[in-house]
Amino acid sequence: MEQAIAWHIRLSRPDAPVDDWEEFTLWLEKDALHRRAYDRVSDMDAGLSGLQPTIHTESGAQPTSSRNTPARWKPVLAAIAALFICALLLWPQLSGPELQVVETQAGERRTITLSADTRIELNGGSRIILEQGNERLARLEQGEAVFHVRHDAQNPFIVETGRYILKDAGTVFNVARHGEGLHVAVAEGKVIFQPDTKAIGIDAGKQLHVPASGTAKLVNVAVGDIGAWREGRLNFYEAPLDIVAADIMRASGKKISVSPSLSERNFTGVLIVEKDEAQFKRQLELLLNVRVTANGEAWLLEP
Amino acid sequence: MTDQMPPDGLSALFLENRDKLQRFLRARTGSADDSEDILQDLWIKVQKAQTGPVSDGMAYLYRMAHNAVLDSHRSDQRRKKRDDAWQAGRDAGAASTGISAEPDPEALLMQREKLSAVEAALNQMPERTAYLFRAFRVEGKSQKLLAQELGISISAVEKHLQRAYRAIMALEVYADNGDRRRLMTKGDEDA
Repeated sequence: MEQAIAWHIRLSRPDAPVDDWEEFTLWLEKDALHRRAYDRVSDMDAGLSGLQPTIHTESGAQPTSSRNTPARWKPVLAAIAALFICALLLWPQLSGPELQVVETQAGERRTITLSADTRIELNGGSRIILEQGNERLARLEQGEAVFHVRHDAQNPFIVETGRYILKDAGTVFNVARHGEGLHVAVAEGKVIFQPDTKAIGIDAGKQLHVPASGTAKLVNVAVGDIGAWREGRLNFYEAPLDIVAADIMRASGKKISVSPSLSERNFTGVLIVEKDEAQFKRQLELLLNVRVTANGEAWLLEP
Repeated sequence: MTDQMPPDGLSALFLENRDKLQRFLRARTGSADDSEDILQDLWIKVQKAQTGPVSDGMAYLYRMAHNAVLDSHRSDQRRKKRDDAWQAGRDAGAASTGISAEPDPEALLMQREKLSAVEAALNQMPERTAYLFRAFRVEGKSQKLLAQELGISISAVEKHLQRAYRAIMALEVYADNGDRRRLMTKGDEDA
């Protein structure tokens, strides 16, 4: 098992040389159990996609890195996070109604039809929880979705997402989560953000940006651009490159990481998701003004 | 074998080294049939690939072969899951929920159980090990980049990662209990 793990890590290096591959072949040939062990490691690794990148505090005061947190707080935060995770895991069993989890892999899309006039189009890398028997509530746990909602003032459609709540007022709208941040764009009708507290109304043609920390901002957006990921078009307005990378991954399944030295860089414009990797790579290099290097299956964006 | 290859260099390299790749695929899949199928697909991909100059063509081909095994493994699993879900749906006479996309709740629950066990294990690890593991596996940072970031050697990064993976593989949720959903078991090979 230890050898299988060592191989798994060694071969994840993008520059693993021919010698490594040949040695790996010999190791596999030596014993059929080696292959079994390697499969187990590889399966385990593939199943880790839902892991959290870093532990966030709910206040969001230090959104980017847990390394800024004083060391003495770490065990406490870890314990809180563990409790939080346990609560999250137990939550479906504790609350009454049956819950339905719908999940997509990166690059995959799904349409969930709740009723004749209410449906949810789920982007890749997304997870949504629905309550059976209640088609007016959806919890977007991760990722992005376009909601087509029948408006009923008596019984509004509610989207819960992280610590935020959205209430429809007659509507087609797109919701995208980026970690703790949130983007809500309205194509038709109106959506109320945080109806019980701030109650910010988002009209058609507007997009609300809620950053992980700091103040929310309402900007104009072309209605035709809303939910354009469904056609493989990704629109960005002053978006940090890690958000751009996350959106590309959702839509295409391509894993992209951003060099820390680009963390200050923003992008405004449109990217087209292309099947042809070489062309897509060139497009990214040109439009984002970066260098794209392959890192195993993933791409790394560098200045 | 030169570093700079003509446009069709990768195809030529493939043909020249077909035996090596076949041997690798055979060892990796444990099945002559599977490895032959994957090799065929790989050949089609190689001919279509429009790569710029590849510095080490053979390593690149090995990488493609390696990824092709993972892809076929994954699509097999997905197909299996779909078939299971379809069967389960028929058995239960479902479709009454009005929700068209049916995930497999049992698998989801198992998946969550695994993730929470991994999170818990990470919280038990030394801070640096856990940080490196998350940065590597979740954020997709390369070992080289992480080594630079922390000012340590790549082999030190590798050791941390190995420690993390070992701790995770030792978790009970990953115990090898003759997992019936495993792909390339004896039965599947014969089928």
